[in-house]
Amino acid sequence: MTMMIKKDSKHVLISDATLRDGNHAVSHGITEENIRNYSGWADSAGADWIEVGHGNGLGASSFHIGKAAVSDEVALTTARGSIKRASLSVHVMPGIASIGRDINRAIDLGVEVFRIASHCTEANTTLRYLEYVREQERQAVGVLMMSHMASAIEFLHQAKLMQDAGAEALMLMDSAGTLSPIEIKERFEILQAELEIPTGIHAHNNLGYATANTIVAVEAGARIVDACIAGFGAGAGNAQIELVIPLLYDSNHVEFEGIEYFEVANKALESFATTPISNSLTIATGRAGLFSGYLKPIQRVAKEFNVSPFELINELGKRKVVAGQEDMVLEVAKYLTQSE
Amino acid sequence: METGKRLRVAIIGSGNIGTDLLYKVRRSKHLKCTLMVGRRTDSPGLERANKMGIQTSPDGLEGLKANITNIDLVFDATSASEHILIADTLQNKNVALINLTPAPLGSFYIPLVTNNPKMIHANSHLNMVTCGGQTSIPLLHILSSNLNLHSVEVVSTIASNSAGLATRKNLDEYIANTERAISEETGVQEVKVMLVINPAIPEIVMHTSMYVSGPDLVEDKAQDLINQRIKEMNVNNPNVKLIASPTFVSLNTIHFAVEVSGSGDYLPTYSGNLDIINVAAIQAAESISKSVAP
Repeated sequence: MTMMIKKDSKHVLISDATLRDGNHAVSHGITEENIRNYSGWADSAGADWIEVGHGNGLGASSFHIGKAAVSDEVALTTARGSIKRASLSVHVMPGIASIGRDINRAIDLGVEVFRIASHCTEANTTLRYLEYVREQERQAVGVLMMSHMASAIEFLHQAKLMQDAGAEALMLMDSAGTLSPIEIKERFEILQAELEIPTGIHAHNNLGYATANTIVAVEAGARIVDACIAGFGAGAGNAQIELVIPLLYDSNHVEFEGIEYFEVANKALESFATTPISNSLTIATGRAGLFSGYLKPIQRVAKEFNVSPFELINELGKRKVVAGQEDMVLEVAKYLTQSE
Repeated sequence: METGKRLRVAIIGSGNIGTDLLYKVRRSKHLKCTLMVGRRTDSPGLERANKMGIQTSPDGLEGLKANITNIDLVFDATSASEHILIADTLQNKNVALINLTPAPLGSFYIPLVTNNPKMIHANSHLNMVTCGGQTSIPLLHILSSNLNLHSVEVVSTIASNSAGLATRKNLDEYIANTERAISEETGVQEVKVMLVINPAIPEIVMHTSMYVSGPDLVEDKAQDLINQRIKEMNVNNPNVKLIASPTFVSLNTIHFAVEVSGSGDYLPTYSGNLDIINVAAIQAAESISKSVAP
């Protein structure tokens, strides 16, 4: 069953991104068994959408970004088998995923929600994908990543391109965990006033704002919330699902208190999830506006090349790298070794 | 076709690629641009051609058809769907066609790699693959000819301002076309291609990372082969340079990367992605010129 929220409803849709964003935190090492168990737990705990896959989405398993422990095909088939109530969703970055190679197979495997993502200024790379997903009668959601890199007005313009191409909802991803609650409020108020489709928030906790940004976004009109078990996700992690559900329940945005997710959190932490760490590295990437998914590669490469991770973060930030440029971590590290 | 004369060339598509080609054709000793075709009377590309004294037409395919008897070769810089119609029109007209669109038509032409003389004649229909293909295939080809490769990955990052609307709309064709060409020219079955668009200002120069896997890779050997091939590429395109030397990134996998800048004819130098495909297209046209009008 596929569900979509209405823009003017009070109800908030819960999108559990644990099995996708969490993959960043374990270098895409989530196993088939983890997927089988967790998607079943999340399904019965009340998630509306369950997102599964490599951290960078369909087709992203590679030497470049990191090989996933499980192929897209196995991951989706496994999750499909465990999910009874919720919708199965995937993250799709055009240029990394293709329609011919990846989307068609995902449709065959029973994916219901396709979240088509681009860097916040490059929405026109997603339009054909959005149109295609609509033609196939699956749910098409537009996702703008690294949102801090566009002004609120530019962001709105990009969101409208997605809406015009048939996106049924629009997600704002604060992929670097850089935006403050004040900025989030401003952006969602503009989106709420100008868009016809519902909006959603995907927060990261690099500057400690994941929970606050999620709640502020909902109060300003967001109706889809991305969250992960124990915050398990890239960088300093995402909004914590077993925390935001009770908060949304208190403000009458969801009809369940999310108690079942407490138990799920325990089971997930015992079996595969890790508690995200907030430290000077995740703060530095948040301040530099770097894609949270680069934390693991930065740690690995800094050690390998014996360079300061902070210098590496600083230089990558200066070069304004976007998601999908993992090779730059390696090259900037080499550059720093040579310039020393 | 008249012997010893320059090949009479038409460019259809007066956008960035077509206009840059115009500058490159004018520099060639073997080619002469006699017609530039666009779709709008106010096209800046057509205006430039007009100022250079070149006949122009804003009537698209009809404009090309009307002048077909005065043309030996057509550069098609329109779109995938338009290319199919143009190819159909030119069939058996004794006019060569060079495909710069993502349409999967024509024989792949990659300098240093596709050396089949049978491909080159007055009726040639050549496919220039993609910017990522023109950058990576010469390098992957020399590696696959000398080393045992199991899988190949090619990731190109280009500046947002060098990625036109057609590129953005055709990402799917870009991936499919590049993967197919790499696989055909190197014999490697497992191929993955990605394209990343980066909006940073000042614009980044086109950057292509390659990851090759095989059981008996050695960094030094790969380095020698890559150096040799870049030297060969630089004869016609001095703007390809190795920016990250081959380094093992996992047990059987080596990464290396090149940067491709542009010659700055019409397009800014960061857009090496647009330049490299045009430089190769000129080489293709010149090889046809040499074969039909030596």
